Amino acid sequence: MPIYEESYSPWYGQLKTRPQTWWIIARTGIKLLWKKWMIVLVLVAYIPFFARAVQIYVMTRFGDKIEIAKTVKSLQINAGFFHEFLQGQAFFLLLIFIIAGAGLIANDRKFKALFIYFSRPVNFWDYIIGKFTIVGFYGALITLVPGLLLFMVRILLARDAVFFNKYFWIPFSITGYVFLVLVTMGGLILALSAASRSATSAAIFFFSLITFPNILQKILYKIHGIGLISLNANLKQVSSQMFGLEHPFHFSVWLGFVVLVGIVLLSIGILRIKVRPTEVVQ
Amino acid sequence: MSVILKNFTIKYGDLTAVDHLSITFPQGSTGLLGANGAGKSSLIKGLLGLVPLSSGSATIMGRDVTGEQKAIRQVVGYMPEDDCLIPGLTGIGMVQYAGELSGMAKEDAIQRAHEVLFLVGLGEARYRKVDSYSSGMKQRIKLAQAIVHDPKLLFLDEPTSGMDPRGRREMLDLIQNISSKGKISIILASHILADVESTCERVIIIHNGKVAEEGKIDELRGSYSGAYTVRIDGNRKKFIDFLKSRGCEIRPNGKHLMDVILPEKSETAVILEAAKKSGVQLRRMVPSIQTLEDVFVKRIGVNQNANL
Repeated sequence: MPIYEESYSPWYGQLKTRPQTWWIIARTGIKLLWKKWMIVLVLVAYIPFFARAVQIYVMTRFGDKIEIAKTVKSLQINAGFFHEFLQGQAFFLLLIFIIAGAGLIANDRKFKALFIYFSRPVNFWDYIIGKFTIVGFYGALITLVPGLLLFMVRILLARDAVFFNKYFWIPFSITGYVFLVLVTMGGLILALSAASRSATSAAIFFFSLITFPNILQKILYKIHGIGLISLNANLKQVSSQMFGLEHPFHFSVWLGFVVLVGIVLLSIGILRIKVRPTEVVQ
Repeated sequence: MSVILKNFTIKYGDLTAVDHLSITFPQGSTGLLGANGAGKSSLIKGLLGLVPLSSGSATIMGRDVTGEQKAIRQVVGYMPEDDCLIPGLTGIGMVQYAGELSGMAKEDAIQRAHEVLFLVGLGEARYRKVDSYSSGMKQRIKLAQAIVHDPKLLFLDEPTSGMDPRGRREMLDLIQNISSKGKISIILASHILADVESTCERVIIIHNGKVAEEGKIDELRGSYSGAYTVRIDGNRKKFIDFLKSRGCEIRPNGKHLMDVILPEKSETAVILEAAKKSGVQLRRMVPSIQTLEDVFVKRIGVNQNANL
């Protein structure tokens, strides 16, 4: 492989004084992950959306003619409907976080790519925000986008403004809920990814952290406040408040919120320790 | 361009990697020479802000390395010692990405990435995933990502590590070419004397985190005397034993010659006396042409590193 018979030629262009490096990291990461299996996963994650859209159509147009629709609460289109839809997307979200997020920092550490980032005008927050935007994008793609689209479908099919007047705040709740989920779960998967050089280990650990406390709190449901150990339970509790619904657990919503904030802070702490270009081995 | 260090110190716990260095790197190419663990890589990482300074200060082109890291990193290039890649990207993608992170517009970065990949000899392999590159190719792409944005100062940390002899020669030629044609100042850290000798104008020899010697390579070579190339006819072992008993260092130089390095304050009379006492004929005795290795050995000692 010969080096070509040409000399080095200087570049006379102008560098941007403040490059938006977080966006370059995010854009490249999103593009890298946009592969066949990711497209398939996103499409599969939209199946519930289409089912719910059909439900909205049927209930809006023929709801008053269907007898069962008047008595079965889950068929009615209200705040609970949107909350339920977002809860249902949790499984796909878990898959997205595992597939998209587990390797984001672990692979950079494995291939020592942090040198490439941090020898350039990239600081810790540029890097983390860039990486978070990647998981955030895919997470929002299967939660925020279909959630807001469902609301629009409901509004577009309405014959009057009654629904809008009553539930105009739902898009804000959807956005707030998605933000909360992405920040807590996204932060956690990035922290676990940073704590390991193996994407597989990070994925397994993340899955365990989400699943086992959830199972445990379901088994030990009689113990007061046991839900606090589960990320999922805390998210449910806080989000029920956001959608104006009855709280599913007995612990305080604020306590649940504090737990979520604690998880985010802990994740940032792990990232601070682990995302360094040079590790000093004593 | 100049890099100025004042009491520059880097510590890892109890270990002092760089010990109160106060030196100036002028424009041009400077080699940082030292055995493994001497503190060369730590010095570079400290200048780039990749490891925190324990004490002291440094400026690059008048900018403080602790307070103006982003501005500094935009105008310097860094080729790390370790293999480092962005997994999943092609060669062209990785160099373009590096260019954009440095502040180049996307279109400029793409165009420039093609140029530098051809320059480093990866033109044909630029659409291959970097994960599949060989060791030599990884070295080349590391250089490509470091020069894509046409830096004013280039840090090269063991640039020929893991390369075969031909690749190594090509890499060194390329570094010389970049330095001369691109008007880029280079700081090259290596434990391979020949790499520094063939590419740099100046050298700073580092030992245990401190400067052991510094100056222009030509001047350092000239400043050192006391070595002679000798050819004898007769009992070689007896001759060598005598010289060693007088504190001389002997290094074989080809089949028939040997280099005799006299201890300080010794005269050539020692060699003549050795020839007389051991009964050999002295056929040739000329001052040796000194290499950087002689300077290094004199300052640091022998057997510091097997690769030297």
